[in-house]
Amino acid sequence: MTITVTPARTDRMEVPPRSRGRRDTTLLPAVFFLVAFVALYFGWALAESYHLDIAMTFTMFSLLALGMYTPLFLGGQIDLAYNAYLAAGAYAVAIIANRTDIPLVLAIPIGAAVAATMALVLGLVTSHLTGFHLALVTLLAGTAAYRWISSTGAGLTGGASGIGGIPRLDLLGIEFGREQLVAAGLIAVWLVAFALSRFRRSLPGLAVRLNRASTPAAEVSGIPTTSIRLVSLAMGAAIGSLGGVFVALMNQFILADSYAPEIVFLALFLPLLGGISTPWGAVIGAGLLCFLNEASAFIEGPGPLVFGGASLAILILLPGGLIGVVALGWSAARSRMRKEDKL
Amino acid sequence: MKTGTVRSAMVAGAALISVGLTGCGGTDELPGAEGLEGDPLVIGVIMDTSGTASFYSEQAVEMIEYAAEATNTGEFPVALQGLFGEGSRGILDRPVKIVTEDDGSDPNRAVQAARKLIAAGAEAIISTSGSASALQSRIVCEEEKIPCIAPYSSSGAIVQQPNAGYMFTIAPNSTVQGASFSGIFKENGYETYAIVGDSSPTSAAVADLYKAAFDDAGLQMVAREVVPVGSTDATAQVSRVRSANPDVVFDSFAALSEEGLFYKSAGDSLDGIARWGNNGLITSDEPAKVAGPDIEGVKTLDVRSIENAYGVEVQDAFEKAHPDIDYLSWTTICNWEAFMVLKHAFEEVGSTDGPDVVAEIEGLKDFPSVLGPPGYTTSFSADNHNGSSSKALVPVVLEADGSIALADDETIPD
Amino acid sequence: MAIEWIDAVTALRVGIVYALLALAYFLFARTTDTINFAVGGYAMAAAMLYATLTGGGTSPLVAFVVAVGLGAVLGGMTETFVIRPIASKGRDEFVVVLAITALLFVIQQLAGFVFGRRAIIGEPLTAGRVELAGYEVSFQNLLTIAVGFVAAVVVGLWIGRGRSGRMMRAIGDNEQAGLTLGIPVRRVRLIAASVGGLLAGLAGALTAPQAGNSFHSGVSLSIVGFIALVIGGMGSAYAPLIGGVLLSFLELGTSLIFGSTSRDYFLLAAVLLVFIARPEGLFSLKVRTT
Repeated sequence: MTITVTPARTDRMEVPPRSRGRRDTTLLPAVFFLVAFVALYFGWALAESYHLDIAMTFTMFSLLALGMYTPLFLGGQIDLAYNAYLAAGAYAVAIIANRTDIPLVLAIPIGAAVAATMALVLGLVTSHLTGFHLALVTLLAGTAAYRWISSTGAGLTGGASGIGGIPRLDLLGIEFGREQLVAAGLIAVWLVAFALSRFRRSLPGLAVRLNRASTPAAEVSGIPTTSIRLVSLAMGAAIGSLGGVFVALMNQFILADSYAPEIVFLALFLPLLGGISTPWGAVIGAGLLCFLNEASAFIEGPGPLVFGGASLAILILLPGGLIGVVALGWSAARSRMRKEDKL
Repeated sequence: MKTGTVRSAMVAGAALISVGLTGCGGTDELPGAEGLEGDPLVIGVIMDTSGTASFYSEQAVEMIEYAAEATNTGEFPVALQGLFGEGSRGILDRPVKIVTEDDGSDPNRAVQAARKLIAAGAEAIISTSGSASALQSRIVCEEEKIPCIAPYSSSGAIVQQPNAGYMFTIAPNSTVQGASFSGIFKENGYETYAIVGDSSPTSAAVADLYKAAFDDAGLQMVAREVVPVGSTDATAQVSRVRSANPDVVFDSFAALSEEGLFYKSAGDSLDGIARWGNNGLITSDEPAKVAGPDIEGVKTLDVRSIENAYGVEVQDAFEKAHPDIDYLSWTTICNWEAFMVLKHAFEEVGSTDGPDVVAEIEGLKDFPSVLGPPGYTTSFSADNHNGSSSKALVPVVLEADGSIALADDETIPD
Repeated sequence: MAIEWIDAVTALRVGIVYALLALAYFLFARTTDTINFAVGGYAMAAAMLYATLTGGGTSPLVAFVVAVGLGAVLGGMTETFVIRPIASKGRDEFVVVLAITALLFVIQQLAGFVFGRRAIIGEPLTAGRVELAGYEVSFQNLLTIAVGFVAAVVVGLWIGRGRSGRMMRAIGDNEQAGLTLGIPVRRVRLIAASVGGLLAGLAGALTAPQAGNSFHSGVSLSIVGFIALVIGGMGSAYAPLIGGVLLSFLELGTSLIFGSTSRDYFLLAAVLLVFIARPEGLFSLKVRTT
């Protein structure tokens, strides 16, 4: 194969040289999104019952996108089995609730462990191969997992008839109803995105990015490239499974059709739509997806056309994603302010 | 940098303008509601404009809108005039308004769509999207205590508890059909069967339900094959069915194009084996178009009878109002029935109170039906939320050109 | 389960279409350094156009040419309006791949608008059947195999020996060097992209009479083509041909022997096996040793 996954050239522009070493650039967006999430939750999500569902869809796609972001933009790996990881979380909830006496909250680590194990196995099989080999293997694995959920394993999963009877999660005396679950979901998204943005700046994070930029260089520097690659795959899968946990707890009923491989192609865009220079881009991308789904009621045409067209336009015309637009606007405004100061 | 900013602004501006332009549709007058007073009674419809259900969902929405218009003007077929009383217009004398919400056949969006419809004031929801959407959204119906009908969803799981308290279906579901097919097969002396479907979860689930019914009837399965969705060839599946040599091959396809592909790949190589399929065969003309003349002789069960004057009257009038429709799906007419069941239940209760309306539907007996042979009626009970019995089913056979003819030689035993 | 020789004809007929799709990927990959997931979309659009035209009474031959032409136009437009604008900004390769995936969505939904949301099937190019050793084989099947095979070989020869084919390879290796050498990079890339689109269009037009074509079949066509590409490898212009045929034999063979319910599992197992045994693809012949 001549195709190799090369480093993100946009990485260069992520930290403006001006601010390097002077202040922690992860805090400002984190604070911004914290405020935005609080405003979103109290100002909008609680206003209408269906807003909670949209907020939950946003949570699910955010976690999916953040999960895919982890190996894709930290390690240069395309993992397309995210429908299976999502399902691991969702079915862990449904199966534990229906067929075991295990406390429901343990579905979170169990789902994450199942997803991470799958990702590790697929990663091991494709170690020393290019990113596109991994893409193919994970795509087929996602398809096989879908097949298993919907047919071979239908005795356990309920297949297309679904599996219901999922009770509300009761944790430390709090019953997690719809409102509490959405709050918890938004907090989880915020924590994961914040943690990932910190991780990018940390020493292991730098190692991962160096690995991506140049594997030989990373190896020379004594960085354990293989294990870092596997860790980023497993981490991403575990994050993706969390999305499934939330959806299952929210809807209290899940069925096989929700875990088709198609959902991966949708989630794949999200980090880029927002902007790949930061994990927050994945969150913005998920927000845009939910917005366009709603907007397609106003804009002529079915949702996928609107979403595909908008994605295409953003990818071609806006190099930095939506965050890039904000950044450009910000720097333009600042330079104008500075000029005015001089006057 | 500069050009980037300008371009970004242009993109954002263009997007806003396009939203603004198409967003100002204005509120339409409700068709046929002139002179009716009071707040409109909203019936929500979950539809699919982009996914796998989009073909029949579009017709379903048109039928529901047609039913709403007929109700607003008060022009009912003879069969209903006695039921609703002279001069009945609208529902509870209020004009009916149809509000739709798209879910793209995505179950998670169906939940959202259902709640959005309720927020828009829907007092009942008709789900015209896929079975998976109906299954997932019935949770909302129960939680919000809103009566819901998935008129033609064939999965028996939809009306099974838990979570089915507020969900109804009209057309005979796979449980009823499975029993009917088994009866026919026994009557014909078949002992072994092969089941062929596609790789979609719906097809797998439907195949399991039919298999259970056939096994209960003492039939023996000798082959089970799957045509992956997106295949361009099904000769391997045909070969395996042929070498298993069953008395009858039954198709449980949910993907219509693949259903046609199976019969096309079979050609005449399944001669001597009876061929029966689920009613996907007559949901659209896709199976017959794809299969070509090889579809000839394949049998299935329809819910329409040309002898049912009420059904024919509704269907003809609907086709007249929509001359662009070139193939009328069997699913379409079920939406008329769903709408009229709702009107009747609302008016018997005298309010839109969800639990009362559901109880009323559960108590509904012998409701005049557009389905089945003349005189067939729909009945529900607290245990049975699927309105139709096997008596609504009419054995039909497909002709070489894809048209549907009565299968006179087949009868469904009681 | 008895396997008969006629099954090999079927597998070849299906496999040649996979091969054309894989070859389309190959051309994009070698010149534009892009995994073009939209090739299945081109094939679907061409198939639906062919089916619509022949359904409306247009002669199959004219419809065939127009449909294949649509593939070429779509391929060229993808290079001009999507790949080139993004790549010229020096952005991450993923951006291109994802933009193309978005394009696939757009092509599918537009096809749904234009051609309708029901599956349609095309008239065969030639009716009639011929009897071969006890089996009836349709001319369409033989024609599909022949046309697909000839197209794959011609493209292989063009890449290996033709002037623009050689320039194409040079660009794929190092575009800057190509520019320095005075190769008309833009034009060669456009030619390669159009030929790639044409091959996908050919795949679509050839399958159009074999099975139902619907607006959402683009993704599955893209996926089989991609699998064929990876199985075959990218070492030679003939590797996609072998990859496609092999994939089809694998699908049909496992379905015949083990039953079709387990096909997805066998596919995964087979690909994993290939990767463990020969990670560079089965046929990664070195064509350029100098």
